[in-house]
Amino acid sequence: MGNKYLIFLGCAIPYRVSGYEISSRKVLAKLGVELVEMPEFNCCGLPLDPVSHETMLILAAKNLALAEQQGLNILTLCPGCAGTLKKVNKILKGDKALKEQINNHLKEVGLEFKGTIETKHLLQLLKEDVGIEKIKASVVKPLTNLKVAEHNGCHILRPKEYIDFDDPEDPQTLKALIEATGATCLDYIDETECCGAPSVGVSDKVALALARDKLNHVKQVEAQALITICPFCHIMYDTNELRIEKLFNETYGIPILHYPQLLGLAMGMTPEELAFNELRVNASNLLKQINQGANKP
Amino acid sequence: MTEAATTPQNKDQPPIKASELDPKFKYELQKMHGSEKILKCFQCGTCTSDCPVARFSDSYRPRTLIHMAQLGLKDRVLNSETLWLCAACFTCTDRCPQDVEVAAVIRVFRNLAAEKGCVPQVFKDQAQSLLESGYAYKIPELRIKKRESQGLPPLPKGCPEKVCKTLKGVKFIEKIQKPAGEKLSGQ
Repeated sequence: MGNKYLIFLGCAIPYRVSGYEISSRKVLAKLGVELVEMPEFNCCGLPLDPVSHETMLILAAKNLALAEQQGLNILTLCPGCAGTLKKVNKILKGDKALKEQINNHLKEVGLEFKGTIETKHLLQLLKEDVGIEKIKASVVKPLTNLKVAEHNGCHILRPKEYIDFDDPEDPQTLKALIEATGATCLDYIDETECCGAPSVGVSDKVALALARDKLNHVKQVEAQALITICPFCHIMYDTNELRIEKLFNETYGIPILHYPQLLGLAMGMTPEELAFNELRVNASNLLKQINQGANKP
Repeated sequence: MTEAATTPQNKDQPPIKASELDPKFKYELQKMHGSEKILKCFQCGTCTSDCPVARFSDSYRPRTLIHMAQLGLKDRVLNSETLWLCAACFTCTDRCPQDVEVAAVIRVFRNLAAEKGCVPQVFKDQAQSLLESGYAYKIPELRIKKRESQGLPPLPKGCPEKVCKTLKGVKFIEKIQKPAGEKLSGQ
């Protein structure tokens, strides 16, 4: 199947995180990864899991069956989608009776889940298919004077049994990918703590308290930006940072970047190309600092 | 930790009567996908002490919910609003020394509550959007049109009619699909 993937966007990215999609597509094109568009896909199923596990299984299996018809593996930008598609693929491949039950639902639209393809998240693709060395080689403008922090989020790491990608207690992949751009990736307290996004709408108070806790820890180590790889985590920090500042009388001013935006800058792309205008927290100071560093002999 | 003293399920509710216990609830859970190992929980409290939500909520305690289920307090568990606070981060699942899939057990509780009609509005909205568009969030027309000017390819079609066909016979979906105007119970 080579470096050719069906791209799976899910719901959150087209709904309100287009900067992540735009920057990912630009960076992947430059790294020689070919993306194939699907005429039909629907929600991965994860948002429905709390109310109906069966609905989640059917939706995920439907997406997988559609991809199987194309004979291509899936690439997702959202860890929630990746986790769900991986998990359901594994569960159904290991449980004949359940597979038959789900396929009875899919039969209604002429589909069948077989279990012949795999799903990868952007981070996994960058590490396993492209490789850190190739990414390093693509850097023309190393971000050497930049100190940032990373936020993996939960679903790229857990549950370990189904995701089995990085160490959920001390993940290294995103750090290595950040350092490949020349930037320094700082350690801080509770790096793997949840962003709180799934609690929005049930208790905004709890959700915002979690996001505030993270931003406090990132501020403590004086990170110039926080780097995310999940649309929900990004919404949680970028969209809510100003709100949290007001609500809790804090000052952060920490730009929240999608990883491909950071990599794109190091590859020599402009902030306009990488959709920096979509960010809520102003990144112009950060960009100035990067340019000052680049001008140094 | 002083969980018993701070958990509203214990604080605000009337004393437990033997008649409200469902001694078979735990066996029912044992047969469901995700909560098979609920009887292996020996109440060590790792889930609650490592839970990021429990740190900032004064009501959500996964250990307490599992204990209540083991005791047979089915109605109290399923009617509990705190059930819906879990962020599904899976920290509890990964760290449980007894290999109980704690987050999946909570999900089973939620599924059972949803079948009874006890669901926060946000989940009903997402289900409704799924049935109407194939996506859990209703993506505005403007966003879809804007994609072209942003140099992005068209969005894959959600094909809601096909989604509805594949979900035929699913209990929760049938409940949601009740004719407009009929109020869902539990809220």
